[in-house]
Amino acid sequence: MIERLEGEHGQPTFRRDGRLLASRFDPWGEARAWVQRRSAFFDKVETIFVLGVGAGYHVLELAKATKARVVVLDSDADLIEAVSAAHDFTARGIRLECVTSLRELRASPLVRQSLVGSHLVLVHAPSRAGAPELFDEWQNQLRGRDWGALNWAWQLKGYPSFDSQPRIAGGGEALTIYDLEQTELVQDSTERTRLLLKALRELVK
Amino acid sequence: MKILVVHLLRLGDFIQGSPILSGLHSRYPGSRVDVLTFRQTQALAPLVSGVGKWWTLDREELQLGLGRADIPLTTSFEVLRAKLDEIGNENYDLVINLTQTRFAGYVCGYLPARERLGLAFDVRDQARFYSPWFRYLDERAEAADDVFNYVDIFAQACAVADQPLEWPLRATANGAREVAALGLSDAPVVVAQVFTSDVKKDWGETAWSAYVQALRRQAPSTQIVILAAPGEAALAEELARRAAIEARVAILSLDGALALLARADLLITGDTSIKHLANAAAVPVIELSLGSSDYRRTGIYKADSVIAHARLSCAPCSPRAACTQPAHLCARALKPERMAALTLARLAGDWNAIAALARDVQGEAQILRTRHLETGFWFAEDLSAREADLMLKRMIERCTWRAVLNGEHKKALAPFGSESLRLDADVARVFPAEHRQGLTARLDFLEREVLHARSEQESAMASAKRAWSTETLPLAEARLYQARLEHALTASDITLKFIRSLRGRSLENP
Repeated sequence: MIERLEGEHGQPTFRRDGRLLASRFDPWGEARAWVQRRSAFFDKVETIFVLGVGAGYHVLELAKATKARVVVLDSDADLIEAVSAAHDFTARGIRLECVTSLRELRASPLVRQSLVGSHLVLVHAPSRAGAPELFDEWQNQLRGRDWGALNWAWQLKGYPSFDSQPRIAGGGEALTIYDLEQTELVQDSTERTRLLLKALRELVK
Repeated sequence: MKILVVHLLRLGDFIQGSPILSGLHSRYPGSRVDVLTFRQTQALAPLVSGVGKWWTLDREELQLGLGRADIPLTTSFEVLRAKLDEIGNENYDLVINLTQTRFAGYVCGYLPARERLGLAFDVRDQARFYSPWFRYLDERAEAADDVFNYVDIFAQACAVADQPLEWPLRATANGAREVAALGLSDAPVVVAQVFTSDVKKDWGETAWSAYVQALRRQAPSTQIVILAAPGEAALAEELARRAAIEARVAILSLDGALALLARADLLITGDTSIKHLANAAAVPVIELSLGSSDYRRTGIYKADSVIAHARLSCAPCSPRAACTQPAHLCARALKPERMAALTLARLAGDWNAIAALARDVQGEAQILRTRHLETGFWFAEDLSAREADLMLKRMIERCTWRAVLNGEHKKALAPFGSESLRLDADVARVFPAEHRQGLTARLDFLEREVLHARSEQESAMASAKRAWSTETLPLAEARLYQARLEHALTASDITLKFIRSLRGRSLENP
């Protein structure tokens, strides 16, 4: 159940199933701190995915801090509607999308189009608390730190495949640049792309 | 013409290589010279003239993106690609890589360019250098007997060595204001750059304290300023307090530091970016070459500077390893009282006193004077004259290397004559008249050395020919070996030419 509440200073906030989605006392300050803790690459990526619309403050603060396109994903259509009524997202070019499964996320034209360029994935913890397994599936898919997710995103970007037989094994640990170094693309091909991967590998020696 | 100079190392390395920018403007009038550096180096931008666009890569951010599992694995890749594609869209006529690292080599290999200089990997992972000078830098980077200062290598490789090199760095009004706020009087100012990037290169607070006290005793009116960056403020104040150093602490930006160097009467420093910055000011420099500092490659470039260096078999040590000695011996070899005396002698421009000091300390330390030779090279002259034979050999070797690397021996009219004249002028300057009496004997000794080496090279060549004619050596290996031997034989022949020319002049002008 979604409740719209009035904060200490009159600003709207929301509670879902008894859980506050933003501070009642200083939602803007809380949102600014959230953004500042995650600011790497803000000035360089083309898209920032935010998993969880929350009460919207973190999304608006993020939009102030970056020129990237902000795409908000949430599984709760009612919450999206309620928060959209409380804040003007369209003026900031923020896109909100309701997805209810990993399959829907992978099929979303907005997500697929956004992955063509560089991106970040930020998770709003209070939102995640409402659907943790779903949010974790989304972030794993979008962060590309296993072979299945990585190959999917890599193909969307139009780059040559890492291997002639795509790897799909997951494994416990997140993929790193060392794993990419072992692919056919880096070891055997004459693609220019491999020069960038080899350059990045040198940065972590 | 659009030129991109890639310099993906630290701030001090950029400053050291910066005269190449001026040289490129002279060689290619009307050209636009852009640079690509790491983000931190861009702090120099207000001080550097002659740069069109200043591109940067954020090394720490790219590393963060690779290391953190919550950042998509492709983000660093996309960010790097987007930046390099943006740079590539400038369609540079010439891309020059002054960075001898694999990272820079891959970056330069990715960037399109009509012409290149310096390391660039191709898509087959082959390293290409586009200049024998950059290949020389790659092959001899770690060699103990490497002869060239890096600035000379860059200048030769970029074909800008035929004119005096200028440092394109100027302090701004902001820097001048920072210095004005220090309230310095007209008395002589000695600036001490106490901190380096590596504890092995530090002289140590005890030494600095003793140095300042000695200087105060001998020249009480001297204003001693400890220079530190804003991030070092607490360290500097603490050092001054703990070591009871009677000196003013100046916390300055790079701009302020350059302005202070323009005002100062002397800088005494370890191997730091401030040392390289001093090339752009008139201030005399004393460099304390400690730890992994290698003055032969990165010593203070401007002429008439002084380098103090410990005579230890472990010096210079590896930058990647801890000190192997039970104590910081190289720092201890440079006694504070001696360095204070050296400071006063240099302030007075008294090279005789400096030479006398060099002879006094020659058992444990070298005192070197930097020179720009007629032959166009940087040179560090051992003022104790203890290594006269080695100095002479190095002077000749430089000319030989240039002839070989520039392929002058292949030309119909090789400039050995004019080079010999310049070499002779250098020898006359470095070896005072009284030492020229021994010059013929030294040249005879060198000639015998070279003839012996040449004989061994010829034997090796004969053995190698037998080995590959009987197929005991694979062909590719054989060709490489043959090329190296031919190179060595050519170098020996050229060296002999120079030795004999010098000896002829020496006999004509005893």
